[in-house]
Amino acid sequence: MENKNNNTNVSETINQQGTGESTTETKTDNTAKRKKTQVSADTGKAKSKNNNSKQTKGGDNSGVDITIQNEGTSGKGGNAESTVIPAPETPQTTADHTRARIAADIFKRMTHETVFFTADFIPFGDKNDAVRHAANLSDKTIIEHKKQ
Amino acid sequence: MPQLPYVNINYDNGAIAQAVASNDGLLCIAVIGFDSKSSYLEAGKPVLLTCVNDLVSLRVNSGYEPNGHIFAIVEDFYKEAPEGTRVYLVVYPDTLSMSGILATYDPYLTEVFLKTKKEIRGFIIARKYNKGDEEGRNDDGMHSEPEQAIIHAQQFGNWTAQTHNAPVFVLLENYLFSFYDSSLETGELSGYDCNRVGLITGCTSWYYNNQAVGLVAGRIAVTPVHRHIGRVKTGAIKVDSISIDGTPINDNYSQILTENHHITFRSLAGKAGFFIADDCLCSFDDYCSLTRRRTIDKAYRIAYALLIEELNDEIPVNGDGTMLETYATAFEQSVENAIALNMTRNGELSVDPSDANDTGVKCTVDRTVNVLATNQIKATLRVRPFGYAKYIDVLLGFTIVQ
Repeated sequence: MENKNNNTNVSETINQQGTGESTTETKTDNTAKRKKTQVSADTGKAKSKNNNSKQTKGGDNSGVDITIQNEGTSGKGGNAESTVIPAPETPQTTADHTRARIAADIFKRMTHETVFFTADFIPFGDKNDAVRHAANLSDKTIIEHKKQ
Repeated sequence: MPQLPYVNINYDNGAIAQAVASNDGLLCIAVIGFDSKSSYLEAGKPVLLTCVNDLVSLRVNSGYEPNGHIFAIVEDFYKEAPEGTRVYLVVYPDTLSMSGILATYDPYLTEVFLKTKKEIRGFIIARKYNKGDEEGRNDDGMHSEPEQAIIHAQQFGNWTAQTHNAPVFVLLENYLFSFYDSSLETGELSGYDCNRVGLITGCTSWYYNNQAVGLVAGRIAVTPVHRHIGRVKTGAIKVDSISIDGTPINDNYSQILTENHHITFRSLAGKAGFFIADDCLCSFDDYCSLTRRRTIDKAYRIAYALLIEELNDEIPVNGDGTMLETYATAFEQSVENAIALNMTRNGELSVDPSDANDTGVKCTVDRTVNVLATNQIKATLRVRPFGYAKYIDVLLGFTIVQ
């Protein structure tokens, strides 16, 4: 019989992967951000209502959070709003590192100058595609990565 | 409280081609490159299809439409598989690579595998043609993308088996393959030692420049695990022409590609149409063919489902801590019976009809293990696959006696 594992091995392997766990964590973080963070129109800085809330990706970044209307033409999720935030200069969470690694690979292979990640880690070369995709997700945050 | 006697009739569902009884042929076609504006397709979200028309409801149409390549792949699938055959379709933007979606540390096909409750038995990976991608070809005619993805595909397959006990195979589209400068040489895929990965080479359409992944997937979906997908008795694949980089496939191409462990096509003298030449995977070991891979993976899934029930169960032991003979025999019998019931009875294992006790499966428990001290059961499980008539040599002469 091939590759037979017991439960211990299963647990070990899952821990080694770590991705599933981090994905869940990221989604939770993003949800927390959406619920607890407001965008101030005049300063453009994110404010947290809850001091106990976790540091989320892009939280330290002073870049302006842009709320844009979904520009989708296919008629799905047309009223949803997406928030585009720039990627943190220094990746902090596992999710940040994952996105940075995927973006680096894209910039290496392709001619894109910018990549837009939706909350489910799908990288789009076109912002409108990302907005359209985010409209179907519960977390509509879009992280913008620029070629260094 | 007493209840009034009653007659209750419930509707059973799934008996008429809407759902297949077995998931042995359940595949997922992953296509990199799609247009989200013109369709309802969502990146990374698997869609279960049962016929070509399901694509129409997703606004994916044939011809020169932006997602025409996806339609062509699914249409090819349903040329081989009857309507009602289930197949998952998942699409990704063209920023991702084949290696990227297969990476076990990123949430792409790993998520699809988990979302679909580990039912999927095989993944077929294709990519939309992008103008200028020809520059990515290596000297051996292979594009760097599928070549790099082979290792990731093997890791993905190992991840499904080792981490989730639900093994899968991965077939990659040999994207933009070309015989360079008529040198008729190509990469030696067996050198990769990746026995869960195959490479499909041979195009049906000059327009989409895609290899015929849909046809191969459709043939796999309707073929039992023990049956070779290139079996001549099954019939020719439903396609008018097969080409490689614009040149119609010939015996020379088929020969070289098969020697190099590609899954490709061939024509046969005296038979109309094209056949799948062989079902090679990128390895030289016991699991170097898709048929063997699917057979052993099915045995794996059955054995796992049975053995998981035995976890933490009490085991009667002898004075020296070894397992009681009666218990060992019963353990072996239960494993053998499970596989015989699910495979031998379906004709998926080879048996000797002259031996009434032969089921094509043999489970042997190591009776020398001190279960008391180690808490371990060590067993060997072997199934007997079929042989395949790949090479038929006949000496032909006259019966005249001198």
